[in-house]
Amino acid sequence: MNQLLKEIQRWLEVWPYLLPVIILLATPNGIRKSGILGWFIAGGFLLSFLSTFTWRYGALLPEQLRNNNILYNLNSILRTLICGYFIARLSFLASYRHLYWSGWLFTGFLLINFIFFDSVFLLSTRLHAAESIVLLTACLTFFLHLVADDEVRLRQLAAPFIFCAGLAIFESVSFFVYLFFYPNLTTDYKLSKLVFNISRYSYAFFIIMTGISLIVQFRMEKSKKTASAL
Amino acid sequence: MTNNLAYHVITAIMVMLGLMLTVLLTVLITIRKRNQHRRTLDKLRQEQQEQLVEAAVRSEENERHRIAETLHDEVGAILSSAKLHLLGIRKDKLDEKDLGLHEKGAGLLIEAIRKVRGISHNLHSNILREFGLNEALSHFLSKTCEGTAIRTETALDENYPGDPEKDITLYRIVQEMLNNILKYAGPGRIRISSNMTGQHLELLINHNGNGLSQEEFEQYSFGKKGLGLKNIRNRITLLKGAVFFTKEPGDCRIRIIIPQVLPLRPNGKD
Repeated sequence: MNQLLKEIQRWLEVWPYLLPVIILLATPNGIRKSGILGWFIAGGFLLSFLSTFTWRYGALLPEQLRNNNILYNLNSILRTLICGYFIARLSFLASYRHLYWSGWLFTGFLLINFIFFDSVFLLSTRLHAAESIVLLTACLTFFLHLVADDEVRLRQLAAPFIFCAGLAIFESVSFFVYLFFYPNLTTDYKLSKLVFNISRYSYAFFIIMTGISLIVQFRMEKSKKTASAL
Repeated sequence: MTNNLAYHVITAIMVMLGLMLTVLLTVLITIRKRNQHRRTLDKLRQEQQEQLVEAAVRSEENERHRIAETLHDEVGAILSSAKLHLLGIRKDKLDEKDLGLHEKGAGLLIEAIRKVRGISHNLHSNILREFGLNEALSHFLSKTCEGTAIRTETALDENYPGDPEKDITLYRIVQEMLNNILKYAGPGRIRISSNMTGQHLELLINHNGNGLSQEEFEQYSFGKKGLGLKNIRNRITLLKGAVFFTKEPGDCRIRIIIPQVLPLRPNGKD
């Protein structure tokens, strides 16, 4: 039992994806309707599975495939670009041009960081910190808009709100986790593991929130369709 | 030092998490409060609109009442007096031409008295006040279609307890609808039925003319034309009810649903 719980915890970054994946597959035209979030879920699921698999069964793999840091970096890039694009594309946020600029700035940062500073084969703390800054800015813009716009009805924006709430919580936790990842690791391995686990739990929470946001989105679309049919 | 760094990192994570949760909570509370405020404003606006409609309907009703009374008590009395005077003329002293004119004048006067009484009764239905909605509707339908080829039928629920305030409004709605049907739809038969279901009164007008669909009703009642339909809509709003138009070949239906929250009369059949 204890072993099973430990195994579940080890695959913490993978099994939460089952919720959005099942929703996408169970809903008619779910993948098409989910838009760019579908790509995020598919890509994130694949990368998280591969990184956890590499960590757990790395010994079975050839030497050059045992490093899962590149997968973590790729997941971070995927998250930043797709989630940032998803938020920037929300129609009522079209006037916030900094959301688009931040995407280009992040792309520029990626090139500079991996050409001059970090190796793609090592977990890039700068990349993860930049990810948190870009996505937290996007989420806070979304939240501030909700407060500032008198015409906003939360019921209509429930799906993106749930998604952004999950994302903002994950990013606010992971910002310091990744920023002090190496200093922690070198000073106290046990505590650094605990800190890293906090980030993994928040990631699982974010993916579950993404699943819930998809449920809400599909339900709203269905009720809209029913209402227009009536 | 070792423990210090981890402690600081965990503290920083907790602070960030706390801040983010505070932001989320603030957003939710702000939106919730704003929605509550908006709902209160909407409610107030709706109440104000209802009061305006009620005032308009009431003033219209009072005006009808006043005109009906004036027609009946003053014009009617003058015409009756004129009739008495006219009939008082000795016919044997009139030549053939004057006799013809006298007969014609008397006939027109009687017709005028009948018309004035009809208009007065239409404007202020005594039957409604004395015998209730069902009787008033039956009477109005038969009276309106009298002398035409239109077949009429009523099947009104006797369990309807009646409510003087609502009945006059309902009566006016049906009156306006029947006038419209006769004027524009060209029906061969009209049927009015009602049914008390739970706390609602359902009034159904069926006819086989060229009636309105729901879209047409919405279009006319919200458009610049269609004053009668606007009145119907206002009165329905006043009663907090709903009206549904259905148009099918050979069968047009108008369904009026009115919430009836008043208790049944002690001598009611229910």
